[in-house]
Amino acid sequence: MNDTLVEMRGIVKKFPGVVALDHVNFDLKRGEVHVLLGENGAGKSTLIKVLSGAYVADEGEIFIEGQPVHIVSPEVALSRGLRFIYQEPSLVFDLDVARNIFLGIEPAQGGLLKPFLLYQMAEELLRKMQIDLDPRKMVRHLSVTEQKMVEIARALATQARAIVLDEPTDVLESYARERLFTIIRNLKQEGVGFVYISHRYAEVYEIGDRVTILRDGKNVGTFNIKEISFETMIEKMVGKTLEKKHVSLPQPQEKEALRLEGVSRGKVLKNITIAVKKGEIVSITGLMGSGKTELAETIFGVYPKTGGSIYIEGERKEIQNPAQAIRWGIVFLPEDRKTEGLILDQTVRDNYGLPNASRLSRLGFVRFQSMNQEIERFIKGLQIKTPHRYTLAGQLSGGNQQKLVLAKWLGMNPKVFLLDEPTRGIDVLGRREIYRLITELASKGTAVLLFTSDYSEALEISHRILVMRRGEICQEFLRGEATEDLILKAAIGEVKCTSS
Amino acid sequence: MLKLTRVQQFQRAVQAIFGLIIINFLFLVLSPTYRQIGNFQTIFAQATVLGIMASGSTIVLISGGLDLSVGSLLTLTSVLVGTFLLWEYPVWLCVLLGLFIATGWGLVNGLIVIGTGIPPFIVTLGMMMVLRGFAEIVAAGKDMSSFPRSFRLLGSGYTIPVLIMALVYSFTTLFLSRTKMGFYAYAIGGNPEVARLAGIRVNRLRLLYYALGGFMAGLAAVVLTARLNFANSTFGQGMELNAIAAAVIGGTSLSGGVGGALRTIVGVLIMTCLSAGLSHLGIGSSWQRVAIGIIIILAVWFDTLQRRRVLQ
Repeated sequence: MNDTLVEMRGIVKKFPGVVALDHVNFDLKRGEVHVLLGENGAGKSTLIKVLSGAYVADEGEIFIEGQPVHIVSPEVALSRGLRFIYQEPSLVFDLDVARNIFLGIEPAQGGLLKPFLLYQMAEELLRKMQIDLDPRKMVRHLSVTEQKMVEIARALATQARAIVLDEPTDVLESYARERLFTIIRNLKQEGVGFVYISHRYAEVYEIGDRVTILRDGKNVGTFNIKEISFETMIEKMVGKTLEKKHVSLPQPQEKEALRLEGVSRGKVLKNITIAVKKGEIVSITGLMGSGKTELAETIFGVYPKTGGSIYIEGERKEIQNPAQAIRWGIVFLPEDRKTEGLILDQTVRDNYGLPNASRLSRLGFVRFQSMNQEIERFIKGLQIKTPHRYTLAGQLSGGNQQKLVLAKWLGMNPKVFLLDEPTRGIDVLGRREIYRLITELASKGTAVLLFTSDYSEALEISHRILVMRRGEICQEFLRGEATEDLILKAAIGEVKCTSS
Repeated sequence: MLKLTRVQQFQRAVQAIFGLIIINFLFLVLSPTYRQIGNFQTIFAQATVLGIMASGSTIVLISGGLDLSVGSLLTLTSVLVGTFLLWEYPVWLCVLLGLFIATGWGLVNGLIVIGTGIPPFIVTLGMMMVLRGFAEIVAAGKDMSSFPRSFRLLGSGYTIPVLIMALVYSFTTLFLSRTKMGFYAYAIGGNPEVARLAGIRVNRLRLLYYALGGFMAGLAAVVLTARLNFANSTFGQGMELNAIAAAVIGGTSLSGGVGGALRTIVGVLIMTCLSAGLSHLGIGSSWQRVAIGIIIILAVWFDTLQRRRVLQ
């Protein structure tokens, strides 16, 4: 009996200008959890896309249970028992659990569904997996974790032999992860193999049997979890020792830019007190659901606070909506640039004009000439790669879109810049550029609040790091004090909240 | 690349103008009576009412809204103005009251849409029936006519109505392409959440756009009533759909964020020329409707094709 479920040999995948995968070897055994680790842009998702049939490799071979397979389309991967669970749930929200599990393979006779059998089968499957879920519950009303579980159940209902989980815990809260991990451990016993993609070192030890580390499209080593130390793992991932992470940051000024005193909002934010100086970069991090995005939205007035007060340059200001926040010099780069940051089917110039039109108007008339001059200056200054200012924003690359969002706010000359996950989904080079722009911004005296779930990002470009948990600020680290491990411990609650 | 993006922006406008030229060319060749100068005067005069209303619909559509009640609002305004005139109120007061009520009703539509979060399609569909009902109550089945001469002047001949329409389009074009509030209409229609996060007072502005749509419907009602020297509760039926169709044929997007007033006037002329030309060829109004229906589908199809291509 062959113990290897999947074997990928010498996989090469090139994109114009980049070698995304450079002769990568990877294998998955029956009943193991194989963690695929690497920074953003290291090639994790490309490798998985090659396995799933979304991309076809330029070179290399793939074997499934010892047989060579050409995975030229997703159908091939599916027919061989490979299942993929992505970060975004691919479920029908308005159908119940059982319908989702058996979507497309419902028990039926002569074109008529057999609902009784459907729910019976669903119940059986869930019981076998030890998932405590009502098969008649609408998927819309499930938590994110429960949705993941439904997806796993669906994978099993369709005879999965190997399941690929793409950063499943990125959206899960810590207590919910435990439930998911238990299910994974149970399924391992049945011989299902898991590829587990993550950029969180800590959970590798919790769930993994082996780990493969990718860096710049190369496999830099496959190890048994027990044989690799935390330090080596990080070193392999980053490609250098940790000290080199210290980018030089501009010195903050003495004057205070923003102060929150006991700010709260319903149950999501509790008694937040922060003071940020001009030219200071403060990172606010934590798990999904810790309240960091909520904090950003509250400062910006998207959802106004229910208690406490906000001071700008020492003066107390009322912020009930974004328009007010902008008036006091606060601007906000939202988490999702495609739906909140930019109007994709409008031009670069018009997107720039959104917040700036008011400033550029006289007697209600917009001075488009000044607007054109300004956006041209930003296109040059920020090196936004666009053919023209009248190109549609949706036609730019992710990094350039994000630069455009920055530009539209830089035009407002902000005192406080709130950035929510500014580098999510942006490649390594784009990231570096955005970091450069952030530090430049700080050196000009803007206070920067960086809301991020990427701890290495927080470590790299901030003067201070605040860790949030359940709507509270739990711990504060000064630059150089923190490590990813310490941040994670504070975020998942191994350390008690200092404020509570 | 530079030229390409500019062309992309105006492609739909160019297509619409091209369509207008083709239609006119065909009718000029096919119909001897279509060539007479008087015919064009009639076409312009006929285009005014639809044109004025459509300019309002254009603003509402660009901002991502929809107002199906403007046809009924036209009827209601018309019978109200007629009633006021028969009560022998001064003409200026009757006109002002009519415009005031129409604007107010646009505002009410906006308030309901924004306040309740019900889709504008439903709100204004309901309001379409409400207003027509009111119009019937006000008119009480009677026809009103024999209005004072100074009032009839507003719609008689073709100079004054066309002048009014020219003013309306100058205003709308200036509003949409030069003013802050017009600029915001595109932003709100493009993505209201992005607009809100950019500090734009989205809800207030949407009220303004609905109010403008109401005002234009009121103005159209005044011109129509004056031109016909007649008012009852049956006319204006389906006008809202003609106005929306004219905007869409011109290249204003039903999903918001794209469009312009000058494009709408092209759409209005296409519709008016088409029905005038077909009449000259002795083709009845039923077939005219068929033709206009097909044109609408074609116009939106072009639009869809182009959007798909641009975003690929």
